[in-house]
Formats: sequence, structure tokens, C-alpha cells
Amino acid sequence: MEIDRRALLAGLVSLVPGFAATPQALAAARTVVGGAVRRSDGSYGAVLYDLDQGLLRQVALPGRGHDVAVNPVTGACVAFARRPGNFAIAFGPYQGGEPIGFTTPEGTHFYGHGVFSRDGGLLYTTENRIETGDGVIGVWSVKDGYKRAGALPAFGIGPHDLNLLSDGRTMVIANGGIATHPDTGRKPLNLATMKPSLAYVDVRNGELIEQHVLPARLHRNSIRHLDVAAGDTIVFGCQFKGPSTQHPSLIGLHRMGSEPYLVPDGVASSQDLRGYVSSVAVDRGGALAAVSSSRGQAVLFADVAGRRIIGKRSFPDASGVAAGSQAAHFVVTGGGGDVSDVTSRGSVDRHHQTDWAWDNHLAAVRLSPQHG
Amino acid sequence: MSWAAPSSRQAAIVIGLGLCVLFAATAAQSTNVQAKVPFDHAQLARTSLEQFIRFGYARFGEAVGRMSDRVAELCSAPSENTLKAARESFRKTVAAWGGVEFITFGPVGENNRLERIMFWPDRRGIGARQVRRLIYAKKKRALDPARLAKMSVAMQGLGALEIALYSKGAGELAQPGAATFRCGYALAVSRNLGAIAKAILTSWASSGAFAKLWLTAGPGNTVYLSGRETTLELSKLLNQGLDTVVEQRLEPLAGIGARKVRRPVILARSGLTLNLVAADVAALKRLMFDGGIVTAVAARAGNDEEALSLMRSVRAETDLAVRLLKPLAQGADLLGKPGSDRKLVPTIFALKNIRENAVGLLKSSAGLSLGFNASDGD
Repeated sequence: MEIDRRALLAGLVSLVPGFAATPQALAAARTVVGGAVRRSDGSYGAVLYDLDQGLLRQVALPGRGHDVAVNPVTGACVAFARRPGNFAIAFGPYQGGEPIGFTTPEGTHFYGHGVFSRDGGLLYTTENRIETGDGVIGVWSVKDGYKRAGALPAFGIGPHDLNLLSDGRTMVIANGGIATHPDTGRKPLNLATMKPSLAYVDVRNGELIEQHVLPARLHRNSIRHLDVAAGDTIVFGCQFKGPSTQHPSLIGLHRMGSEPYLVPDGVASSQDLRGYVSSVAVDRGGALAAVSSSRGQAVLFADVAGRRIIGKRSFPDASGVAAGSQAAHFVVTGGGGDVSDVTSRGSVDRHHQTDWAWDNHLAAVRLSPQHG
Repeated sequence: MSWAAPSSRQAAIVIGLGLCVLFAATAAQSTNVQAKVPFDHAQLARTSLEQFIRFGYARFGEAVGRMSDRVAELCSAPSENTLKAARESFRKTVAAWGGVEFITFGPVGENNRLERIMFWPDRRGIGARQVRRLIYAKKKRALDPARLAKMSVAMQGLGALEIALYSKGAGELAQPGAATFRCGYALAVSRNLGAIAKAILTSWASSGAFAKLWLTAGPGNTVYLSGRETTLELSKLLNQGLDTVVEQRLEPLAGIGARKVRRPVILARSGLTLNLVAADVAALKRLMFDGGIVTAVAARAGNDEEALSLMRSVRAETDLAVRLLKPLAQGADLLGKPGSDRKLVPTIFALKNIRENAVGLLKSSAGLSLGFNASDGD
């Protein structure tokens, strides 16, 4: 969706009366998540939700959102438009303070994901240069009100999700490999030649450190989402665009210097997941991962070091997953409004029913009193 | 281009039907409609296979076969007449392709067959560039259908053949000895298409691999874990087919709203764009009314008058769209002519109504509604 910058800034961002959180109140909160939602009146928004205290903040979005990035220093959140939208809305974790709207440069659009630098000063976003189809990583200056500060090459088509390794300098990019163009909506334009990859890029100079492509027989297994586990092991999830008679593994692991490893089917086959992984999240301990599939109506749990699936739980329309406040805990959200705090054993510790249809992704938000 | 109002008679028809549909939809919402019998997914799978899928691919295979014969005749006896006959056979093949082009599941999804039959959209003109270079360089391996099958998908299908038969220099095909390579390449493309069509039809035949999967949905099936999933495939086919026709093909031609941007138009070189659209719509009509969708929905609805009324409206609008498109497809050179956009608007309205109501009716009747994320993730 193309959004005019002036209209965006003029009309879209509004605070919604709700729980007036204070820094002190939030410091005591245990589990806070941020995500894009569709509201009961059909409009779109982004919310910050505390599993103990309920809604912390809500902002309106001019269209459907996708993921939320969280500033590790300030706790500020940025909600992104879903592909091929071009807007992003930044908002602080507490009531007060106007949200800031910004849009991609002319001729580009967001893919819906972003990550902040470790010092919170820069925001990196996955983007598409529409006419050339090249993937790029947009760089935005936070202190300048999310002013465009530059761009890095993504080294692939369709960069979707991204993250930083523990050194804060190495960025890992999930290049889905699928070319699209706003004129033809979300239709894939290059299925015959798509080449998904994981690209590792030095954010200081934009140089490619290493890149890994799946074997040719898996060239239609689009690498879409990822998270970083202990030891900088990447956990990635795929969406298979090949023949319906084939069911390759959809969950992969990778460490720099090695080849990608696809985790064999465990308690749920890739057919059970309908060839589709929605989201990936690593827990606070860095040892376990949750992988959701909205089409498979389930969340799988993986032991990263053991390189295996250890559990599964069915969830209606589950998609958003984020680390919970403790190790081995995850928050799972669904399109029916469910918000669940679950363990990697699949037990549900807490469940909330909200009025929103939670969108595809969810972010864990760590707040402290100084996040004012 | 602007899109002024359609003729008053056409507008009256569309508005009248729209009101009828709106009334029926409102009535359906206000009444608690209870199903009389369970939705018969298995019967729908069987009927759609026999009356729509196999029918369509058989017709496509036959058209490709005849086209290969005409192109072979053109190559062996170049003349204006044989060139005209080859182009006419291409037109009929395009129409036959419209009968199945929105089927994306099954054997057409294997070995890049869908892209090899028609590489589109091709925003950057990759196909045209590759084919022109090929014809200029006279690469002999492109004359062998088996070797051509391993080359770029953009050089293998109907788009490539259109360039060979209609682009600059194609007139030389009628002159003996003037375009031997071009003609040989066109023949290889035709025969390669024949091989692809045959492979697809074999898999859908009664003893074919995919037909068995299609007809035995349930636990243990390697593609369809329940009967609902084959119905879901048909629902997506109908929805995406109508979506493509309206948003990717007709609205850009009519210059409507955001779709006004200039971009390549499918089969514009041969002037067959609206032939394909007309075939698309006829195929979707066949899927609904012969392929078992309407029968399955009607059986589920029982004597529920609101649902039946909605179905009658879908029928009327489908007939209208087919009727409106027929003369437009015959006047092949409509594109770019003054007033052509106006002629498309009534069809667009009708198709939008069909999409809204037919797909909605099928989904609600068959219990296909998916969650917010499952229906549209990323």
C-alpha cells in the first residue's frame, strides 16, 4: 500500500485512551509483547500488551502491519507495514509522546521487519527496490527522528527478516528469494529461478561476510524468518513454494562457517504444517525455539543444541511467537485474539482473550523504569 | 484514459443485478440459514476433475497438437496462408489455455510447468529479450524440443511463441527460406508445449498419480489431509482467477484508479489479450456450473431460498460477463482505441460481484473460512 507521507503524518497516529502505564508499574511487569493487530472495527493498529497488566499502549496504523521492532535501549517500538506497504510508526512504551511516522524512499517498500542496533541509535529494515527487484537494508537514524541514513545491500531478492549476532556488527538476513512487484500485488514472479539464502553482512561497511544457499532441489523453500540462539546459532523457518507432493523440512539451523541444517520432521511433519512456517522465536535462555504455523494451526518447540523438535501444541490460527519472560517460556498470539504464555513442553501457564486479531508476528519487549 | 460511465442499458443491468445480490445477501444474513446436508467434498472433487480439470487440459492438449501441425506446415510450405493458419491455431491454443491457466495445483506445479507454459508477468521483458537474442544467434539446441525444455522457462511457452509468430520480422515466416530458424524454433516450442500438456494430462488421468491423490483426500494422503482441502483448492482457484482477470488484466486496460499505471499487457503483441480474458471467464463459469461447485452448494442449501437466490444472481452475472466479453474478444484490436475502457467497466463490475458472492457462498457453505493469519500470512 502506498501511503502519502503528509497524509500519514497528519491523520494516522493517535493515542488510544487506555491503561496509563507508569515506569514503576512497567518495571514490575513480567511479560510484555508488541504486535500489529486488526481491531474489532476493522481498522489496524499496533499494541503493547502486558500479560499481567493488560494493554499498555495502542497506536493506529494506516494499513495492515506486520512485525514490530523493539529498541533495546529505550524500549521504543516501531511497527512496519506489511509487504508491499511503505509506512512505519515509531512509538514509546509509555503513554505520552507523539508517535513518529516515516515512509520508505520513493520507489521502495518495506518487507515488514526491522531490527535496532545494539546501542539503539540505528534501525535496519528489509526493503525492496521496486523497479530493479533488488533487496536492500534501509538504515534509519533514531536520534534524527528516523531520518534515512543510508542503505546496505541485502545480497538477495526478497529480504524478509533480519537480526544481529552477539557482536552487534554481523547482520544475518533471510533472503526469501521471491521477487514481487506492487503492480501484481503479492504474486511471486520468479518461482522457477528463486534462490533463497542466508546472508551475513558487516553493518559497518555493508560487505558480505558469507552467504549460504539451500541445495538446488530446495530452491523453492523460501527462507523467511529467523532468530538468534545461544552461540549465534540461527534458527530459521521456511515457506515451501514447490509442488504440493513434496514436503521438505521447514525448520533450519545455521552457524557461520558451516552449511545450513534442516531439522528432520519430529512430532509434526512439514505436511502437517502445510508447508508453511509463520514465525520463529528463541527463548530468553537461548537454548529453545518456538516455531509457529498458522496454516498448520500449531506451534512446534525445538531444542537448538540437540537439533531436534521436542514438542508441539495446537493453537487456533497461531502465528505470533516471542520469548517469554523466563527461559523455556514463549508468548503465542492468534488471529482469534488469544494470547498465551506457554512452556516448551506445550503447557499453557496463562491465557488471555483479547478483542484484537493479532497479526503475523510478535516481539518481546523488555522494559525498565529508565525506559521513559 | 478515463473511465466514464458505461452505456445506460449496461449500467442498468449491472446495477440491477448488484441490487438483487445485495438484497439476497442481506436476507441471507438476517436469516439463520441451517444446512440441510453436509457439504459433499468428495463429490465436488470428482465432478471438478471430470468436468473441469480433465476437460480443460484435454482441450489444451488438442489445441497444442493442432498448432504443432499448423506450424509444421508453415515451416515446410511458407506462405501467407500457412502463416495465417499457424496464427489462428495459436489463437485457439491461447483460448484453450484460458480454460486451465488458473489451476496452479497438481502436475502443472511440478518441474516449473506452469511457468514453462506461460511466463507471466514478465515486467522486465526477460522473455522478449531472450527470444530475440535466440532468434538472432540461431542457437540450434533450441530447435530440439527436449533440449529446449531445459532452457530458460521464458523461452519455452506461449509468450515465446507469440514473439516468434508476431514480433518484428515474423512476416518473413511467409517467405520461403527467409525465416527457417524462427519457424523451426516456433515448431520446437509447440512440440515442447505438447509434451508438457501430455505429462499434465497423464497425471490427471484415471490411473494418474495426482488424480488418485485428488480423489482420496484424508489421513495418509501425501497432499490432501481432508476432503475440505480439495474444496479449498477450488475456492482459491476461483478467487485468484477472478482476482487476476479483474485486477491484473481488465482494470489496467480500463485505466481504473491505482491500476492506471502503464505496464506490460499479456499477449498485447498478438492482440489476444481479451481472447484470453474471455476464455478465463468462460472457464471459471464452467468450474462453477459444470464443475460441481453450484451443485454442491445447492445440495447443502436445500430449499434455503436466500442461498438459492444468491446463486441465481451469480449465474445471471456470469452469463452477463461472458456475453459482454464475447464481442470484445472478437474485436481483437480494442486496446488503445477511444472508448475501449468504457466497454470494459460493466464486465469489471459483474466479475467483482461474482467474486464477492460466489467465493463467499462456497466458503460459507463448505466451511472453508480460514483464520486471519492462515488465510493471509507472509
